[in-house]
Amino acid sequence: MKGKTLIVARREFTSTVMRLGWLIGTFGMPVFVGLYAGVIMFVTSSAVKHDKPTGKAGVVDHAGIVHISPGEKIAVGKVPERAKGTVDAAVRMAEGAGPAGRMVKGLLEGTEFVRFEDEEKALAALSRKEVGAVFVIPEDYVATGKVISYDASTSLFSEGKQSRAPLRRLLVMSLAHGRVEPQFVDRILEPADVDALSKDKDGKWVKRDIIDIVRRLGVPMGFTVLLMISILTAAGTMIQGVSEEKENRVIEVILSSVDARSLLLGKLLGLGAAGLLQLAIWLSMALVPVVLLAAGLALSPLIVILCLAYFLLAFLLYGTLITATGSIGTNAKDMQQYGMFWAIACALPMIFIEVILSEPNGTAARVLSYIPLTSPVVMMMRIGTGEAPAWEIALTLVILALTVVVTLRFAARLFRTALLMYGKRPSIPEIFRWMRQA
Amino acid sequence: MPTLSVEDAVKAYDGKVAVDHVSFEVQGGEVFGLLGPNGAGKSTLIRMTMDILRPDSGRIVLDGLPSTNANHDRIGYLPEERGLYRKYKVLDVLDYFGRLKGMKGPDVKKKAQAALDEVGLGEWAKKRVDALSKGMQQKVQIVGTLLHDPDFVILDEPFSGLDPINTRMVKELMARLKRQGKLVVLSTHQMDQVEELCDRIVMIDRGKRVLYGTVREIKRRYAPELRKASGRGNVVVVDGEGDFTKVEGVLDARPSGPATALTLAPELTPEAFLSRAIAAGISISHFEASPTPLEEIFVHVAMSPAGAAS
Repeated sequence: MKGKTLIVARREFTSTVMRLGWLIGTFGMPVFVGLYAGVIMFVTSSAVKHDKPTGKAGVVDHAGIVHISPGEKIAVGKVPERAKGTVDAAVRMAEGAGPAGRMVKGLLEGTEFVRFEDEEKALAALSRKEVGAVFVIPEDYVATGKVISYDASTSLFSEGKQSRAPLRRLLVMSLAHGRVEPQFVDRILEPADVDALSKDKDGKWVKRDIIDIVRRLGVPMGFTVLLMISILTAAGTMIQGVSEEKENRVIEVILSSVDARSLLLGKLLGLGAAGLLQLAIWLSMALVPVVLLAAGLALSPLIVILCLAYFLLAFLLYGTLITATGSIGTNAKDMQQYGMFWAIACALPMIFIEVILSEPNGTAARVLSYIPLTSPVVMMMRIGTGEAPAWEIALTLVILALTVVVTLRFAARLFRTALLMYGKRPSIPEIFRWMRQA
Repeated sequence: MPTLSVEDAVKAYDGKVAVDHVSFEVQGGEVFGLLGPNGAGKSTLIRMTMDILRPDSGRIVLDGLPSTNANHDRIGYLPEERGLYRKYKVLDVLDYFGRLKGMKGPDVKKKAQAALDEVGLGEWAKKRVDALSKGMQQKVQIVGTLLHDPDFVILDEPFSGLDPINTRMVKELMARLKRQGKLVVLSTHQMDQVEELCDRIVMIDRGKRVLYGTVREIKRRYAPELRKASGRGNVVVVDGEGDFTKVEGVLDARPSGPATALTLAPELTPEAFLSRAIAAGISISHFEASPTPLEEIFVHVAMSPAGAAS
């Protein structure tokens, strides 16, 4: 019967990828996203008025307190060592992204301050676009804290606004210069770089870092979102196909040629393959940013493989459930409604995301990991936090795989009986009888 | 030669018995009629034969072995509810059906094209199914049923929706299958087709087997009973000059084409009627003793309270 599963899978695959809706979705989506990004880029670009950021700001110091080291760039803040990779990747990406990207790059790289004798000269330099902004420190600055800013642009992303935070750092450093011992200056600027410790699965105190968590969760979250999208789109296509076969009565011929389980499995595999192809096309179209992002995120092959395993099992489980429940409906609309019930179940663990992330080995997380319906999404999150014990991963995968096998068996019976009943809506006890009947 | 035997099959849905201890046998080289009123259990029997459903008890045996889905490839099934993928090309649909029935290799489409040519649909092969008329779709469905050269052919109402030319074509097709030694099961309500085509029949009513045997046997056995039960005798079809209803023993007369069909009293044989008519001075240009139609037996059996014994 293996061969027939493949025949069904191949047909479902080809008929899906030849469908206009699929083609529009596959090739239209990146175009749409591209257009959308383009519009945003255009809006922000016009906001920065196509001026190349100079990366410089002029300072007129009437108070005589500013101390500038020529050529030094002062950023918004100090980038923590562990985040350098991500920030560097972001800077490289920003370079390719036009004026808005250049702005982001400027923000990340910092501002170089240039001293001017008086306002006149400084403002002349501003008009010549040698500097992006001018700051005047009045004589009574120490008493009032007032600073005057001349900004060449009124836009939200102007250099004047961008260099305010660096100016604050410059002023702190200048005020401390010669008055505070040099080793204290950095501490005044960055008084606390917090290492947050909390207990891990073995009760040991370990460092948890939001950046780390975000980096490690990237892949599992990506898979979770993809899972939802795949389940929803595949369920739609599946139900459309099955209801067509039921309404057409083709199903009678099909079931006289192939048993219900092979048919169901074949359909799921075919649609799954079409879904993966769609994904691959999307990824390859957006390859550059994805690779750069992945470099920044912790892309451990093990996590990817595990996530893929949960993804496939979840796809089969939900696909089976949606199709079997959907087949009870007498028409496409009914079927959609019955099937969508499961899609909601799949998304359910997202409600508990905070509980799971804050306590990846807590009771809630563990219980949800053993329930096959919530297991995939919860386990992907837990694996992302790096704290799911190996034996739990193995056990939940086995539970999930067994559930798929058993579900497929019962679903096939329900599917077969339901598809042969036309125009009759079964009662709940009838549904259970159908599942028992050979 | 293929054989099919249904051995004491029982199938119940939700406590309602659809098939109740039914047994019969079919041989290759015969056309076997599976008859019964709507809801009698025919579809359930057909589905059990194809292992879409399994009997609760009893067995369905094909060629001496219990029916499993391994037999799918040897069965060609034309369901009563026709179904084709409407939005696909005729040839692609046939290719899929053929492959699902175990056909392999690049020749499936070639064979499908040849089969379409044979039924006069050659130039429609590349057209979408929904561009075809209902009758054409029906022929495509028949082509799909027989494409993989099955040994067991189950045809459920194969003539519905066909014009006389195509009806004749399907009849010829069935005759050919029979000559080839295939086992053909014909399920239909059209009793004249059954009389014309079937060697033997089984009739199911309310899940039970109520008639089983050759058409001739069944007629011989049921005609007297039917006459007794209805208080009516033989039917003769006559044409000529004179008033037939005046002949003693004629119960009623109704037009039958240009002629008249007369129902005789139970004790009156056709020969006796003929001599009486001649004696009454009626000139007769056409006389035909009409055998009891199977339809009457079908209706009689189906209407009798507990069904007749088989």
